Order: sequence, then C-alpha cells, then structure tokens
Amino acid sequence: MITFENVVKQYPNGFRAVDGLSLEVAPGEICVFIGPSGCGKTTTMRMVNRLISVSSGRILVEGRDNRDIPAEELRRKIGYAIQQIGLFPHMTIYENVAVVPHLLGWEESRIRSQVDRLLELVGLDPDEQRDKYPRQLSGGQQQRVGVARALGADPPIMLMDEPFGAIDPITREVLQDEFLQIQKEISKTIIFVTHDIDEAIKMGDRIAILREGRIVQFDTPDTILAHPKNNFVRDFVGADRALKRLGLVRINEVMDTDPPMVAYEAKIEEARNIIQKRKLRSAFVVDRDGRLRGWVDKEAAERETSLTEAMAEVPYSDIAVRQNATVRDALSAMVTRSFRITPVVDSKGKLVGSISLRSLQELVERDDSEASEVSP
Amino acid sequence: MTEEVTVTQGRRQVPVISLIWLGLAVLLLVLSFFSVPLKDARFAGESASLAPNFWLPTLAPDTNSRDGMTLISVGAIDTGIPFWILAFVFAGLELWLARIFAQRDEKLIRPLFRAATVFLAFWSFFGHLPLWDALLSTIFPRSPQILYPRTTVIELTAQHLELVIVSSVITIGIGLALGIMVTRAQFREFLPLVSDFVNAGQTVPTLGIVAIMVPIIGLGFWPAIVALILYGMLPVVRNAIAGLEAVDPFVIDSARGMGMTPSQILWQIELPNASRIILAGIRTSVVINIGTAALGAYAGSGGLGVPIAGGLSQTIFPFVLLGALPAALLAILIDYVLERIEFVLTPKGLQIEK
Repeated sequence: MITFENVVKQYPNGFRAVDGLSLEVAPGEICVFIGPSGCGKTTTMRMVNRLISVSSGRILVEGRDNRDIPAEELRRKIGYAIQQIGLFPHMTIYENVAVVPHLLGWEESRIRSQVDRLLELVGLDPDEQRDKYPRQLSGGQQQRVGVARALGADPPIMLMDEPFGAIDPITREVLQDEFLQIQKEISKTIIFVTHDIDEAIKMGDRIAILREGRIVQFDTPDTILAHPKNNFVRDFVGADRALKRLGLVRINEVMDTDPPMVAYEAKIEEARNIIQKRKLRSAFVVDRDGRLRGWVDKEAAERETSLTEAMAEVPYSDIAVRQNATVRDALSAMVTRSFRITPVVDSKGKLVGSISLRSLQELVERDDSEASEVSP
Repeated sequence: MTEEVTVTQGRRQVPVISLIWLGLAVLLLVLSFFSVPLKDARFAGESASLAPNFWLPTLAPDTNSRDGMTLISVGAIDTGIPFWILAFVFAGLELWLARIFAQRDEKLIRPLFRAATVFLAFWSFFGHLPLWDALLSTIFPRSPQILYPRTTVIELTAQHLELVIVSSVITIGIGLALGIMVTRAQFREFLPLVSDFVNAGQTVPTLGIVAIMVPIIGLGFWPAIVALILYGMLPVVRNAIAGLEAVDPFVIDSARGMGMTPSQILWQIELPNASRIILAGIRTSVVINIGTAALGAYAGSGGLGVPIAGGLSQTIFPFVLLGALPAALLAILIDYVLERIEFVLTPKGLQIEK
C-alpha cells in the first residue's frame, strides 16, 4: 500500500511540479497516473522510491514514511521499470535480472532458480536467453527482461514509467495483455505512469488524472469514462469516450441471454413464428448441442418450405462474437458485417446470447445522459 | 665465418648468412602474426614456436664461437650459453603456454607472448653489436662512428621503459581520478577547469616544459617525468570524461532505482560501460609517451633519446637510428599489446553491435 499525504515537490526556482497531492494506492491494484506532459506524474512516481525528494507532505510505503528507510534499502524493495528499459548492456540477461537479488545478498542457487522463474513468467525461455546480452534481444524481449528485472527480488510494490511506451503497437498490446495476466498471479501494488489514455483504461484498476501537479480525478476507468469530472477530463479521455467505454464492457454483461433461435431439425413454421413474435428480421439456427449453424432471415423463411433450404449455413466464427469479447468488438463486428444483431457464442461455438445495435445505442445514450448531468 | 669483427672504425662486410636469417625470420614473423588462428592448441603452439626458432639464429653468425658452438651475447656480454638452448627453451615455453591458453584465452596470452618474442628478438638484434656495426657501416660507409660508445641499446631501452612506465602509471592514476571526479554531480563545476588544464598541458611544447622544469627540479629523471605526465594527461582525462558521460543516463537511472549505492554504480555500471573509451585514451597516452620520452634526453633522464640527441648534435646518423628505430618499434609493440588488453578488458556485451 502506498499513501500520498499532501505531497509537494517544489524546485529551487519556485516551480511546483507536484502541488499538494493526496492519494492512496490499495494493495494489489494497478494505479495509473496519467496526464499531459509536465503534469507531475513521473515526478510523483519517482518520489515513492526517493529518486526525487519530497519538499513537503509525506509518502507512506506500507505504512512507513519512506524517508525513515535508507534510500537504497527502500529501492531494493520496490520494483522499477522505465520506458527506456535501461538494461545493463555489459551484463548478460541472467546478471541483469539477478541485480537486486545480488544486492540483497541472496544465495547463488536461490538467485538461479528465481531468474529462471521470472524469465519464464515474462515469456522468455531461460535456457535460450539467460546467457545472451541485451543488445542481442529485440525491443519487445528487452522490455520483458526489464519487467523481469523489476520483479527481481519479488518486491511487493512496483513503479512502472511508460514501460511499454517505446514498443511497436502490436507488441505493446501483447505485452499489456501478458502483464495483466502476470499481475493476476503476482498481485503487486503498482504505480503505472502513461500518457496513453487507451493504455490507462486497459491497465488501470484506478486512474489518477493529473494536471499541473494536482489530481483532477481519481476513479475507476469506467467511472472516468462515464462521468468525466470536468471539461479537462472530458477532452483528455477523448471524444470517443463512449466508444472507449464500450471497450470496458464484456459482451456477456449486457447481452440478451434469450436469443431468437430455432433448432436445425425444426419446421419452417417455427422460424416464422419466432421472427414474427419478436418482430425481428432474422433468427439463428442451432444444432442439437446448441452450437450455432447459421441464420435464417424473414424473407427466406416466408418464401421457402423447409428450414434447411431457407437458412444460410455458415461457420459460427463468420457471424458470431465471443461472449468474453468487449462490446466494442461486437459493435465493430456489426458495422463491418452490416448486421443489426449479432449472435454471441462461447468458446465451443454454442449460442449463448445475442446483442443488437439498438441495445448498444441505448448503452451509449445512457452513459451520455449520465455524463452530461455533471456540470463542467 | 672467419672474418674478424671489431668495434672499431672502418668498412666491414655484412655477414650474408645473417641477412638470410633475418629475411626468413621477418617472413615467419609476419606469417605468425597474420596466420589464421588454429583451433587445435598443439598446432597453434607449434606454429607459434617456430618464430623464435628462426629468430634466435640471427644472433648466431658473428657471436663468439667456442668449440664450434655459437654462444649468445646480450649486448656486449658473452653469456656462454649456446644459442640453441635458448631456442629450445623458447620453443618449449611457447608450446606449453599455447597449450594452456590457446583454448581458454587466445585473445590475450598469445598476443602478449608474441609481442614478448618480437621484443626479445629485436633487442637481441640491436644489442648484437658486431652485426649492427657491420650492417650500418655498409649503409653509412662515411660515418665517422657507427656504434654509440657510451652505453648499450639494452640499457637505453630499459631507461626509456622506466620513464614511460613511471610517467604512465602516474598519468593514468591522476587522469582517471580527475575524470571520475569531475563527472560526479558534486564536483561537476570543476569540469571546465580540469578540461582547460589538461588542454593547456598538451598545448605547451614538451621541450618547453622540460626546459622550465630543469631550473625548478634540476636535471635528471623527474623533470622528464613531470613533462611526460603533463603531456600525456589530456587523452586520459578527456577519454575518461567522454566515456563516463557517454554511459546511457537511463542505465544509471535504472541502477539507482534498483537500489545500487553511488560507488556500486561507479564500479559496476559506469566504469565497465565506459571502459572501451577510457582504455583507448590510456593507450593513446602511453604510445604518445613512448615518443615524447625521447625528449627526456635533454633533461638528462637517459633513454633512447640520448643517442638521438647525440647523433643530431654531432651529425652522426647511425646514432640517431640506434635510438629512433628501437623507440619506434617499442611504440608499435606496446600499442599492439595495449590494443589486445583493451579488447580483452572491454565487456563482451559491449562488443556486440546494435
């Protein structure tokens, strides 16, 4: 747990980089600091491990004022990863990851197993990478090593300053996903600095939006997107915040769990009934195990005499979205396929629900009306 | 060989057999330098051991013979040791070392040994007065004197090396300390001062420094040393500063962030990462010193500058050669050795191109 109490950083020229910031980072959460450059987010982070000194106020690290702990001792207990990675080029990958354990005087055998475990955790093959030098690795691999090194001695707290900032967008997505997966296992208390709002929304359990050394809003990503506190936050999260918010919602949280469906063996009348009764333009066809086989539209159902002739039989992956995808993915699928309704399946292809364009519209409108109630 | 060789005036014949040996030796030496490294230690050792086997006989043709056996002289001293014993000792030693080190450390030990072989061979050659005398009197038939009468090349080289080693050790010590100091945050304000000082040291002509030092310190060893230190300081300090400044600031930030102390950061992070540039500066400084040390002769410090100065003032060219050739060779050899040391000391991770 990290607690900031009225923290101020004032430079000799009078400039206040951080101006009376109070905040509490709960154990095991990823707290994202975000804001325009010069907002004090990195300064605030660097005061935690005393790379920058606090002018007034205090920072409690696991309940202790961090100035009561010798700086080196404090830093060895706090993982540190930066955008520029800063791997030691003259040391092997093994030596890089082993730096903090060595500083703490661990036994060599313990360090060895720890390094192997960490390399595996970040998705690197220890036998293959251990003896290489940083310059022999790609940018993505180096950043993985950077994360492994920050985790070196299993610190309870980690500070990460745009750790995925210098990596190409595709690799960045992969590393973000992997890191979230790792965090599920290790549950560290993390301060994560970024200037990328999408990254903040994706990575953060809570987001602190900073401006001129002060916190403008500190909330969960969903709340920030739904209820931006003022114009600054609204501009910062972007005009597409409704869309971004859809990216936070899983399909299975909002889908219609009673999708219009007919069995593959059923008669054509059954299809006509469902379409008519629910005032739809189509219904989904499933087999005996409930797996999606295709769909039948209103015109075909009325024209043809059997369901097998009326239906369009297609692989489920062509028309359905997975239930654990985000609503934003569903919207994207519907727009590209020009569907008004899309079936939702589980990982085995079983139809579990449906989601319609209209229901998404309602979701967005609800957010907007809620948001506009808050005066700027 | 029946001719009589004496250290006196007059035209003498170059022993033909000496020239043949010399040619062969040079050829083999060149080959041994450029030969493809052999994987098998045995072959490496044997090929390397060839060089001294062919070298040492160059001493032979004119050395003292006793009962038909050629004996080794060091300078003018007859050691009474048959040359072939030394050749065998050399070959055996080299074979043994090559076997030990060829696989483990081919980068340093073999080059060092090779340089030592060349050193011994050449200085046997320069110290071999009859041969030297015969060779130079053929080239300079009208020169009034051929051999420097006061002392031997071996002794001059020893003095020269002493000047270079003492001044270099002090230069490196002070230079690195200065370079490290002015790159620390608390002493950074001294950086321009130190920078100006070392620049001035190299701008003022060495001969000028020697001339100023003599009235202050007196004649002899130390005025030359002071001049050499001032003159050689620039590359060491400049490269130390450049090397330490060139270390990626984010690497240092990471080291701090992980809880390394300032001295751990200096010794474990900054110096290894700056080592290549620092060592290059040391190498430049030492090699410059070898040349500059010849000027020490004017302060009475001895060294290979003595015959050069003497030869120039009396216009006896063979004297100049006797000082200049070994000095030049010394510079080349030491540069070669330092280059290998630089290579070995530079961390492997830094030798990988990005």
